[in-house]
Amino acid sequence: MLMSRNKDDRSMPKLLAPIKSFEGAVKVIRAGADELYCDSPIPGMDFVLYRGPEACVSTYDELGEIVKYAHDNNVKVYITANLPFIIDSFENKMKKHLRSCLDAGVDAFIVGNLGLLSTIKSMNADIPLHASTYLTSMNHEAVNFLERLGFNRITLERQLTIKEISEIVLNTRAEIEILIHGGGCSNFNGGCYFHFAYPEKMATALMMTDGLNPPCRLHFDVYDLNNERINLGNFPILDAFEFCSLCKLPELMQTGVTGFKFAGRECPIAFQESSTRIYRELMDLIARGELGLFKEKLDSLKNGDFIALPPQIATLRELVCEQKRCFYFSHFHAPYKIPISWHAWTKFQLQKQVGVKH
Amino acid sequence: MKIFVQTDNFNTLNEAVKTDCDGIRFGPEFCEFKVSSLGILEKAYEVTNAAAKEFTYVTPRLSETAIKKIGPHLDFLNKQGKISVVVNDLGVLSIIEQRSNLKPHFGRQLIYVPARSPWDKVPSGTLEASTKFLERRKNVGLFYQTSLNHEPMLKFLKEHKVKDLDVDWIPDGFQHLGSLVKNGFNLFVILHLVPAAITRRCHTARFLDEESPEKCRRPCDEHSFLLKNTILGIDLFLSGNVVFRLVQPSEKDIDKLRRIGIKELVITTNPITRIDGRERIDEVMKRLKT
Repeated sequence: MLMSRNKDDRSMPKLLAPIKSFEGAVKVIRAGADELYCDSPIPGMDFVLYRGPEACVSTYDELGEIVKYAHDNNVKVYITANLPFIIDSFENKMKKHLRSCLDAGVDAFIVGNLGLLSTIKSMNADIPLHASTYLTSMNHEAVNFLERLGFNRITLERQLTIKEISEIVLNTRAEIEILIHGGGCSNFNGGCYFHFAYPEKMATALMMTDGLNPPCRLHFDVYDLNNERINLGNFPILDAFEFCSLCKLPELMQTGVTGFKFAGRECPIAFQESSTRIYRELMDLIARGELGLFKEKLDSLKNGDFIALPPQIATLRELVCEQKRCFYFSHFHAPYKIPISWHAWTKFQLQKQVGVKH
Repeated sequence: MKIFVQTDNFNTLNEAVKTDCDGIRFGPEFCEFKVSSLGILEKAYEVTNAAAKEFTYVTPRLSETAIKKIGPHLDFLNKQGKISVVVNDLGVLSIIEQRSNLKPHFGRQLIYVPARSPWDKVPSGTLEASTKFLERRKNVGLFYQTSLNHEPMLKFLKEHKVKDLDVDWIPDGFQHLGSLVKNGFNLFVILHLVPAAITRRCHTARFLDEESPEKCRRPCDEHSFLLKNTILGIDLFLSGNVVFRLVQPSEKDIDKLRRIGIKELVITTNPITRIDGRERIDEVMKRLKT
């Protein structure tokens, strides 16, 4: 097995914050971000943006201002070119967009598609490339393959364990980045189509969920294949949505990854800023070995103190800690919202035995 | 048309080899925890070979833990001669490139298909301000195109010696497959089940209170679930770690595939389709062939 890195060669991970405006960029840089990432609408193609224009920096001019400010503060700016897919009719618009981003001075493209990688290579653009989670990298073979294709940094899929992340880092020369905060998908990011083409009643259906409301939290009635309803009510059976990794920060810092990234380009600036500030502070405490202070700070955060959350979330403890919506938990962990039974199978069997039908 | 039967279960494979199918695709398409032992793979290959059927090995996405298991499997197959391996993970593609007899076959998880959306159709009517992604589309046809409708992607596939590709049974998207056939790719259309979401945090295992992946009793071999959302009026199927949309094949659409020049169909054995034994496989094959 190739051991490309020494275990002790673990410098402090860089903190990578999402932004959607110049104002946000200034705030997260002041809050301690080492790197920024953002999206920009593609002229004539904004209808295919995954998160919509509200999650984007509005213009190339604003992007240029962000880059200038960031570079003045020794901070790099990465642009997401990670449309989940690209087709021939997008090609020219995409190339034009990428050239405009290059002109604005961005430091890397985040790429989520192998076809787009070929397109960028054909442009002879001299710029680092980061592999998005859309490429679903979960092992060192995939990471090294992507490195050979020309990626400098690879963002791993969220559904790994901390041990697996460490092993991948040890077996590659590529920079490894992981997501640590914000919306973490219930499904593989690159294999989930729940965000495509919402039906008209989706907003109504999502009102059933409380707080976090990605479509994987939709409520379903569950039936067996004989069309007998399983009497557990209407509940979010597909919900493995996660949100936070504050408690695991010391362990994650030991993995040797290059970057810690937040999700949340679409979130309010207050969320982007406060998340950056909190993680910066905690990471610095851990780096200085002040673990007692780290734990104190963590407790106060769990009690709802000073972290801004997306507006629909009540408190960190209620909707994250109590439901164990933690990144890098074991794979079968079930953050169902109570009252969903954790012993559903037993109930199902019992109901089948007594012949309950609905 | 050639018909392949796909299964990750050795007992079902034993049934399938007794049918008139042209080939067996053995291995889990979606779940790394269902990758068989090397011993079972050896038996599966032997049984398929003895029945004079074509053997294809199917691999899912693999974590750092799971990929360690697959190396010896690929070494074994490489020694048997030219064998196709369905690849759903770039790590597996990388390993295959170092084994000269193995032929990479791109699986569905490496191909992006918006029309796998669980909501099935592009909604009509005025688009609401709060709607997302392709709902903002200006071109409905876009929804049925895939990452294969991109010349640089095809160039990538050719560079990596990939000629065989799995595609979904999404009849409205068949019109976009013809150019791939003309480009020299062999398309394998997988019937019935369109994967709308895949996870490692298995939804079935969580629901059925399985303790851990290592101790998973594989209840998905016998139990799948129908999920209904009454507000949206949709039915989805949960089978193991995948949420599927079920689409029944029609004669008209099979004709459409024939006209395009597609020569391979894949039947997957599954509790949802109730295709689980020789009789059912034969019944489906008969329907497809007539």
